Amino acid sequence: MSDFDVAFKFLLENPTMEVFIGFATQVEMMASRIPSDEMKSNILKVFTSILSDRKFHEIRVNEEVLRIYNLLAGCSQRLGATGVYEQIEKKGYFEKSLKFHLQWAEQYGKANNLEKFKHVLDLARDRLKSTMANNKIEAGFRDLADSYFKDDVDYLFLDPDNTMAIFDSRYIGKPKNRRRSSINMLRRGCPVVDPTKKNFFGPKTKSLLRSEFLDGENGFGTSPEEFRFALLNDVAGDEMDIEMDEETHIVPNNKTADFSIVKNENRRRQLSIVDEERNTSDEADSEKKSRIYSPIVATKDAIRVPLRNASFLNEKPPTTITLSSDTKLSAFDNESFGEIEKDNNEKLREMESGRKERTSSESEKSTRSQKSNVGLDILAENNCLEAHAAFSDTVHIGKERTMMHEEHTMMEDLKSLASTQNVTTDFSVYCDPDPTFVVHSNAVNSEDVPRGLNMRYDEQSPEHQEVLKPKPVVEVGAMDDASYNTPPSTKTTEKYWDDSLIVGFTPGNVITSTPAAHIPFVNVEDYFGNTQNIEKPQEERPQFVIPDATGILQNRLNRRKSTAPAKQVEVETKPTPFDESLSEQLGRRLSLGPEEMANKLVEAAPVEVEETGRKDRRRSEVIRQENNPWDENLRARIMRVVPTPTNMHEFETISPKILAMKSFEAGGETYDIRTLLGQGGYAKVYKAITEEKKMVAVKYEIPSCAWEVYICDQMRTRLLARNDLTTQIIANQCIMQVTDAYIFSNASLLVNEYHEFGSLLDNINNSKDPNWHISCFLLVQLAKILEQVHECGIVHGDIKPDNFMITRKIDMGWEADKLMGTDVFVVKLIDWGRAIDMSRLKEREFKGRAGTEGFDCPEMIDGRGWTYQPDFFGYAATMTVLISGTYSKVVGSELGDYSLDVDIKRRNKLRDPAMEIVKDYLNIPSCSQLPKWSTAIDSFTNVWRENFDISAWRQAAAKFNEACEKSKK
Amino acid sequence: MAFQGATIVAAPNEFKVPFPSYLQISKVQFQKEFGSRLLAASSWDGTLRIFDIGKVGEITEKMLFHNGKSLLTCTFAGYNKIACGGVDHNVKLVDIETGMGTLIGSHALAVRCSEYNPQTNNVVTGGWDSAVKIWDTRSYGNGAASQTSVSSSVYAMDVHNNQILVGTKQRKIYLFDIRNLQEPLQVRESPLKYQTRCVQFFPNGEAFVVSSIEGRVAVEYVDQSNDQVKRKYAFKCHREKEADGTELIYPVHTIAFHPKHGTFATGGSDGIVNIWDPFNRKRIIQLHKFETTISSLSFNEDGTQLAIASSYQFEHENDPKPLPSNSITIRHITDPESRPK
Repeated sequence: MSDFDVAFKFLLENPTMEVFIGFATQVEMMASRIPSDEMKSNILKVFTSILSDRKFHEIRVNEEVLRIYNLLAGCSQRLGATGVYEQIEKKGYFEKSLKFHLQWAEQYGKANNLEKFKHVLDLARDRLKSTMANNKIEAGFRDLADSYFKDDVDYLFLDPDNTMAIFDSRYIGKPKNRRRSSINMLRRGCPVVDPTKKNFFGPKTKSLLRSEFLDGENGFGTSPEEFRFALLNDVAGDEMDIEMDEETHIVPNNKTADFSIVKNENRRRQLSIVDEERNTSDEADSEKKSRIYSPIVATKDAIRVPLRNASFLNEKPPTTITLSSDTKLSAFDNESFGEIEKDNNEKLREMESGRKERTSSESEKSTRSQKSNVGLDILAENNCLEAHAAFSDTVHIGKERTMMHEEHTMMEDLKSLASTQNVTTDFSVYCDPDPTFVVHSNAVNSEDVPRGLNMRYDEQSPEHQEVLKPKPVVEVGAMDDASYNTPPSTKTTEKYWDDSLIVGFTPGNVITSTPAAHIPFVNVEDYFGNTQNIEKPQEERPQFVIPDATGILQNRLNRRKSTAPAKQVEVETKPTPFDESLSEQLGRRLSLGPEEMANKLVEAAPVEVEETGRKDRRRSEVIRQENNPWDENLRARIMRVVPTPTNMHEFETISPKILAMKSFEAGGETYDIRTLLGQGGYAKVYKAITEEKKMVAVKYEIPSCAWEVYICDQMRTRLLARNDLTTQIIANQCIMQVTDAYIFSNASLLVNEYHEFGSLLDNINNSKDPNWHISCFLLVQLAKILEQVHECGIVHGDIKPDNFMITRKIDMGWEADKLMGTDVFVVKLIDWGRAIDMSRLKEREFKGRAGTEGFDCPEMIDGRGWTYQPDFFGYAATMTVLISGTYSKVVGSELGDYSLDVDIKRRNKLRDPAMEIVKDYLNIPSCSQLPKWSTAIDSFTNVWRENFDISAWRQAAAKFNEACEKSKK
Repeated sequence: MAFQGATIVAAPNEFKVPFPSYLQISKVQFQKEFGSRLLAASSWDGTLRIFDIGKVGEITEKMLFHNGKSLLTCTFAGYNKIACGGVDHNVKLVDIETGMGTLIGSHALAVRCSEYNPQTNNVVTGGWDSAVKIWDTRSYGNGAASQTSVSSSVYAMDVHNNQILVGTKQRKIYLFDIRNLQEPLQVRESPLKYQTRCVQFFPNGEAFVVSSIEGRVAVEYVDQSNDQVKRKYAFKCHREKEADGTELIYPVHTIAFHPKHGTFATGGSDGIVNIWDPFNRKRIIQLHKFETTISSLSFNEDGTQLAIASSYQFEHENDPKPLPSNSITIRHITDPESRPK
């Protein structure tokens, strides 16, 4: 149900006046947020009920309904606003309502129809003359006439109006609004500030605030709440009413009843009398009255302190305007309204006359810019000035001490720390960018035997640090295979590389493939001591568990995007969750300014990275002096070569916030974000619904990753270019396709197909003990896909079960041959953020680690160069998971010896071929001696052909489909 | 593309309260009774809602009261009542169980602030009529128990034990003893040069914090003796440095103290919530940026949760288009995030 429906339903169930008033406010608030045709149909719904349903009979004739009519008028096309009001007139509910006539007349004003305007004015005069004074009736019309009709319309009015001078424009440059609008009344009470000046608060400052909130020489600013209230009044049409006079008030105070905060009734016409409030001297009387009316003048007994500072008088009177809308009145019966009015009028006259005497001596001093003759103005102003005078003697602590001490300014250095950007980078530990934006830390116990082998991090093995000979400058764009269909522009011979890129990067700069280059990371879980997650026992998990060294239980959701490489520096874990060591390092620095801090971090970076971390920093992303295939510059250069894919939209701005259960709009499309499906290192994937009610997956990544869009696009292009049936199918079904990409300055949003059956990992987790048929079936597909990927010259870089999505269930009608055929695929490869485009980096080798924990290929472990090897390794690892249900570790210590410690039962048909593949794919001699995917494909296909059993298959397939169901999100 | 420090945060520690996003929130307040899980939210459409906030994110709406005209303030008044006030000048006491409201009195103009003193069972209200009124929640119907006036419209107020702290439009700060409103204990000029947005006592009542529209917060001590006066200070916050070197200044609308640690959170128009350690004069943590202006903050009774109302106040010269969604978020606050260092 939409917001409107919810609110309306509530109204129908609770048809009280209060609920209706609240409902009217809600609808007004909604009006700016929903399109007018939707608003119109909503309002019509309201009226059908209100006008017909008996329970609304009171509300129907109440002026509050006019607010809704007003909104309807705004969006009515056929009838037009004037038509709407004419209809209301026919109903006859509001004959006695001034507000109605004013609103109606306004529509004629907007339509520039003087004739009808006059007609309404006359009607109003006739109908209301028994209940209120003529000038009061006319005041509102006057205002409208001034706003809408250029010509002199004085003749329309019975009461002369010579108070045009009242309406000085005290505000510069503000749009000409109806003078009697609440906002304008409010503004007249505010000190004059030039709104075009943005540096209210001093040189080199800016503010987005309205100038009305600022104090000035002649008064104090108003508050945001008062302003907002005035805005609401204007929308609700309350400005129409004369009752909406400013109020003055005094609470009689026995001792010092000498001040009164006064309003300046500027819009008072010559003889119109303000609705002054009743004297609260009879406080004992019902509070009801006093709440609305309190005297403009202090009670007779009040002592008036004489003016001390006459200079006040020459200035414009400071008036604080607070608004009393007629809302109070609506709480009253309409009948009593007129009555109270009259009494007040009398009272006022009394007060006025009394006052005039007093002020005669000061009259020349009290000239105002407004030439109002109304004595009450003077009275009001005087009182106010007296109040100020009285207060000028207020005790204060002493100027020099009440003002802020510069030296005591907290974090004074941080005055430059304004940008939240700065904060993020400098106080990374202390910032909390997005609550659900979890980076999973893969804190490994230091006690663990270092995985794999000798090299824990590059620094320790100098023998592997030799710098690669700078390769000859490669011409980006020159590609061997012209069939890749790259546009002609790429065939330039422009050199894209410079030396620094090839040789490496300046030492001391930590290059990471993921953000936060030189900022030591903290394991926030430790830092913030969220121990509750750690507590959960491991035993709960089924055997298909990703070994998670932290012991932090990750639910399935999280594992969909498995834990990203944690580029974190481990902080020594201490017993207390609050990490003291980091605090020592950084916390003290909090007292430094951000620049200083940033400097310190930079200079300390190499040291920080090694010392605050652990010695065995197996997460070293430190690829110093080696080629970093994930370097942003490199990627940018590569991307520049091809034209931007059409589905990519780039924005300079910051990304809008993506949160679950929220709508997100970009590039003209609206996506209704629903739930978080999973998250990885720096990306979150949400389920969302498009405008066309289609389910999609939105990947929200910080920082933005346009690379992924590029790669997916390239993959598709290259595959389709090959004109082969299989590649066509793979291009369409097995490679992630980004339907839309929104690249912002700080984040990116990639929209792709939503797969309800989850990832391969989910599937494995949901099926116990998979039959070899299924594993085989899947493995062949995986290999075929990877074969094609490599054919296109791309390394995926992050092959693991989480990164394959199940696209469909197994069709039970498929036969054995078809299943192994060329066109049956149920998986799709996603998450191309780590992909490498080898086609543009010919003869390059990379070194160092970069994969997910536990998924580093042997080359990464022992420091040899690599290109496509990570994918082979990833495949082998995935294979072991598929077959055995658990992850395995790399064992062996040198080339030729590497293997995975997977335990496959002898009777499993896949055991032998699998182990063969493990051997092959983990012991790749060199980048020029890469194995073939056909090895795996053929191998498994043979097993299939020889051992296929239809009933076993059926069972297995059914289980697979069941697992799909279970994985459904 | 700039590398950002992708900072790490624990598993979901933030939950949104099911609140209509188009409604502007004027105040949120957790009930401070021991063990209470209730959160009240008053809104500009005249509704007062009470939510039950579970520890693990299950939040249900428990009560909905319609006042009609906009509500500017609310405050729990005992374990089963809640007071509210707004632009219709009325002060109402609503029964939490039944959702029935009773008019206990009114001001001459809108009721802007309300707070509760459990010791004396009094609700204290302040309005744009410059009046501060005290109401007895056990016996009402005869008007305010006592009242007084201050220099000008009440813009901010806080109550602690028997002290009432009032910030007015004219940038005055009043300190009253609740038992004797006629004579303020102290009247001083605000330490800040611009409009006061919020005042709050420290949990020990010995000092208080004042915030203004100029992105500044001041800490002052109640005791005016010389050595205490020396300890007061102010600092700038909720400001953004622009590329051209100017500072973009945002008002600090709300302050909330952690009930145990004496640290406090501030919320500003920049959509940011900061938690400060006033003893060491440092910032402890900054939360992520919320969608729009933080209009109100409230800690729960044991300081483990912070309610954050993000609601555009129409305070900017140019309203953002489209208007931002309003929300109330419950953020779980851990000890390290709220403890002084």
